[in-house]
Amino acid sequence: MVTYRQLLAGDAGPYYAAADTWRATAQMVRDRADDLVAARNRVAGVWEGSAADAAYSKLTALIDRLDATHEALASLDQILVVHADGIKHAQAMVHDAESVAEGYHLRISSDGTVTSPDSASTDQLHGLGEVSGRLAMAVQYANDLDIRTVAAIAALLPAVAETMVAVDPTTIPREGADPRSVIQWWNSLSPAQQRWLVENEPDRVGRLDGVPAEARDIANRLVLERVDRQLREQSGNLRAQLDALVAQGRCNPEVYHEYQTKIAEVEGRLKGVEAIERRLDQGAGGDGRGYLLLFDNQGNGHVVLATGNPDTADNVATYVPGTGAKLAGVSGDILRADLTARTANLFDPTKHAVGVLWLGFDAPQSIVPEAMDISYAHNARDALSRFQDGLRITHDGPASHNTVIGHSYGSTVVGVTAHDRGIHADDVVFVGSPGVSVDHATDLGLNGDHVWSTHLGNDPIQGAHNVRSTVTQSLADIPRWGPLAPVGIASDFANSGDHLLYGTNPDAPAFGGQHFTAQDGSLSMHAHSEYWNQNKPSLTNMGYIVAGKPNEVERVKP
Amino acid sequence: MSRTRLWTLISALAALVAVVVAAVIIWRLNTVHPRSHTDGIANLDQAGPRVERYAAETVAEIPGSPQLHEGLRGVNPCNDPADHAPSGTGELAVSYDVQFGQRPDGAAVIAHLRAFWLSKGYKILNEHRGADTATISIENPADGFTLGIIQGTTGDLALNITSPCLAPGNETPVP
Repeated sequence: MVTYRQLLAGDAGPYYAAADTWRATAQMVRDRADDLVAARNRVAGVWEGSAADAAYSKLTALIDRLDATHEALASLDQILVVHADGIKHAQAMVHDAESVAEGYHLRISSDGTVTSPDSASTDQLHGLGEVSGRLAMAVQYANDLDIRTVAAIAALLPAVAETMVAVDPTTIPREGADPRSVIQWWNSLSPAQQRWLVENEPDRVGRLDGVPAEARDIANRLVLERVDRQLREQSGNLRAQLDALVAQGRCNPEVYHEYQTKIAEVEGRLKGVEAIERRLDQGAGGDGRGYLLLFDNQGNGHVVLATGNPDTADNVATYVPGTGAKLAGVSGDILRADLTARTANLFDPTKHAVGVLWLGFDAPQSIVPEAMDISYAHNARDALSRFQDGLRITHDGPASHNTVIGHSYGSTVVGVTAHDRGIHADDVVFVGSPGVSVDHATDLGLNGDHVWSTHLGNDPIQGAHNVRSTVTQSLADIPRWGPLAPVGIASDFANSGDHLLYGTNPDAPAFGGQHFTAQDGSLSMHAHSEYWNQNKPSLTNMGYIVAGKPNEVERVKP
Repeated sequence: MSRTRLWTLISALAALVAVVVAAVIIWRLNTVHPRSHTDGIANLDQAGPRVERYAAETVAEIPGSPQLHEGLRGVNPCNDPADHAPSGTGELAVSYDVQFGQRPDGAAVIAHLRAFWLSKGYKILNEHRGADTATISIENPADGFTLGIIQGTTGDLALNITSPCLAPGNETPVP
């Protein structure tokens, strides 16, 4: 039974440190299992007969045991980090109660008893009840956390002792299956079967919306590890081939350039992989353990990374990046997810916000011609809609407050998804948008009070007019303007600000959403990148929206 | 050629010239390199020590001898394709939890820092006081670094420091 005193004295640090240790141990076990697989395969090629078969079976059983142990140790890392986060959360609840007590001029003693002055007013008596209630909730939260952690660790013990149970791979739901049917299938499996799937079919299980985040995370870490090895091998091979060609005098400038391009592409992806690994290894810092919910190296590389466990979070912010987003540059996009979550958590430490970078699509890589093409958004809409459905379905306890933030072309992706497929979100936010494919907030299937938008002053995206309609309008106006036609055309272009490339500017009053303040972007022209500057209102306003504090958001006065 | 057709032709030519001029202006604006007024700070490697200096200077000014605990550090890219900034440029973003032995008076801390920052010639960027939260942010015009304080619902404070958009690593931007 956790007491008030114990709660206050609780230190999350050792739990984070223990999680780090177990994570490293899990990796070591995994490496040894890989070594054994290699050794077994080497022996199988040169040793035959019944003794060889027996040795092969023994080694296979040992590898299975190591795989099961790896899965259990990786889960232990998750459990300990969740526990550490929970301690901090319960302590934040106490601080919140202290803040309320201060407002009523009440005292909280070291054992958590709340007292009022002898001549307490009615208001103070009311406050006494409120503060006592808040403290009791914090202590209860800590106790529940304790029970959950003990139960989760106890449930891992059989995993180490039991053999995993194989599952017929043909029964795994296809990619893109409805998350509702996926979770039904997942829940129908025994823990031993689930563990087998995570260890043996990580590519398929890791990308299924509807599988709980904890299992997806372990599966995708395995995929990440494999891709890391492949990319290093590719890079090494390419460099060796190039060196050999140069040494043999067979390397002309064209071949050299071709190799350099290939090497840059492979090493760029490797840089992205390393950025993901760094974020996933982070945890002891207290920023929250990362959860890898999707990873592959296909197309431009696909990454869905959460800054904490979305299944247990109170607030979840899904960030969809825009033009230029890809595996090689994922580091900055991960930081944006972190900045969003941190800002929301700073505003309301009593609720746990998690940011999710959703790069589950191939984003356009150039403004012209690729970002002029709506097909990138069309290709993303099913996956984004399904991901948001999955967040709702796998969430533990009361539904989280879910926000989807689209930046630049990412806002078009969010708009197209919401309009064409529906999106499970309480709020959507568009920043630096070239239009969201609709002309009114309600066309997104959301109340206009929950559709937010902003542009920084100087953001060049605001020049992304729908040129075709503006030119058509200008030509139609020429006879009317007569000799002053150039003035008329200039006027048409100047007044076309509400008609962006992909529909009405979501900032515009006619759009029917909430236009919040940002700031003037830098004149040195990186304004389109500045929405996540932590000292400017675009980010603080997003933090308020994600934290579920709409009344705190600074709106632009019409 | 009728009078109307002539005007149409002239107008179309004028429009074409206007579009070309606008495009050139936009292109010029879009190819400006990272901020040049950074008081000797040219790249992200150099930004780190400057951030530490701001952090130390700020925390020393806050009554109650608080400690800073780093909660987040990273490079926020400012090379979106729409901005045409050189590859790898970014803002160094660092966020600290300001930890006190006892509960701080957030409003008093913010008022104190506000006066301190103004006395140093920093420019207020934004101030907001909500029902149970508050924010203030400033910019030092000499180097473009911004500092901000966030006060949350529980009264806890965080100090955010961000560099301007700078060249990567130890590179020196092309003038």
